[in-house]
Amino acid sequence: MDVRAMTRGIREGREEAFDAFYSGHADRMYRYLLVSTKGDEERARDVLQDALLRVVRHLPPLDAPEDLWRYLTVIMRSALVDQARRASRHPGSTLSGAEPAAESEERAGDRMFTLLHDALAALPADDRRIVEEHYFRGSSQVEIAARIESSLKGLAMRFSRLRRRMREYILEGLRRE
Amino acid sequence: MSDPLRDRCLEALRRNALLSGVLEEGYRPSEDAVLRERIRAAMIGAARQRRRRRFLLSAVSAAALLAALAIPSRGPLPTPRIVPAPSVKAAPPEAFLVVTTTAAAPLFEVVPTPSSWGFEVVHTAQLVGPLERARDEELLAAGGVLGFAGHPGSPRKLILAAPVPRRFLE
Repeated sequence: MDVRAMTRGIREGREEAFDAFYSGHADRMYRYLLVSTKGDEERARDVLQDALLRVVRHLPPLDAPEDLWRYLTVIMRSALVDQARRASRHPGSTLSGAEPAAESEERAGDRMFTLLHDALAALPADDRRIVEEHYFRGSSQVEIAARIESSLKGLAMRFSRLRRRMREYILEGLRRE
Repeated sequence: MSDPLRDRCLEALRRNALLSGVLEEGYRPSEDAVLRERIRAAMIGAARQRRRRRFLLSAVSAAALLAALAIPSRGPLPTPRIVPAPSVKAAPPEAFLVVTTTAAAPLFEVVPTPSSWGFEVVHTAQLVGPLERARDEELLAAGGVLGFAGHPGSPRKLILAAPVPRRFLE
């Protein structure tokens, strides 16, 4: 579904437009907020909900995908600022009261990739090698499993564990900044 | 042969794939059914409110239009302006040099006309030719007025019916 039909469909309350929007953008928005909140997952989820509510209530008809993403980033920044102000009015809140700096997606992406590179470098050599083989050299999991003499299921579990470890490393890096 | 641009794009795509895979290990809004349902309900509510607002707006606009159209017909009809009928009266004496055929001056010569004509013809210093009957029908309708003569700005002569002295016809 193109952006034009999707944004108009959401304004008219059409389910298929909402499904297309939610499936295509909610994860990306969350990733953006994860960086903007410096890896604070709880806060990123709160702000995501607030931003999504604002989007479905006020989304204007748009034509181009870049216009939609620009609109979404404006909404997310605004939701972040409001959430930070709310937090500062309630000193007992566990949330940080500092207003987030406006974060461009390029900068957020750069930080993510830097941390990803560091997370990969921090893996043990064997683990790093299979990640690089699969993701950077295009080897299939079947080929890797055969090389390291492991079952496919075992390799899939190992990949999942490595991704979780890298994720923790990235979020920790964001929190430290 | 290696293409640096293609290599950079491939590298970026692979890094993206890894980053997506890494981040998908945690919370994913696309799999959060509760959040999805909450947002969907908000969208339906907002759309309903938008429709209701649009309906109200169009109803108000229609009512305003109807009221605007109805106002002139509901009000009292405008009283017709009574235009007084023009009273027919002879022009004031100073406006015209009244000439009767009985008191004609030497400057004035009456031309013989057939008896069937409704007016007389005069020759004056200002006007030569037949009198213009149609100049002022109302004035002409007044009793005894046969016509008047004269160019705009010049002394006008009102011709009244009277016996024509024979001496002017000779």
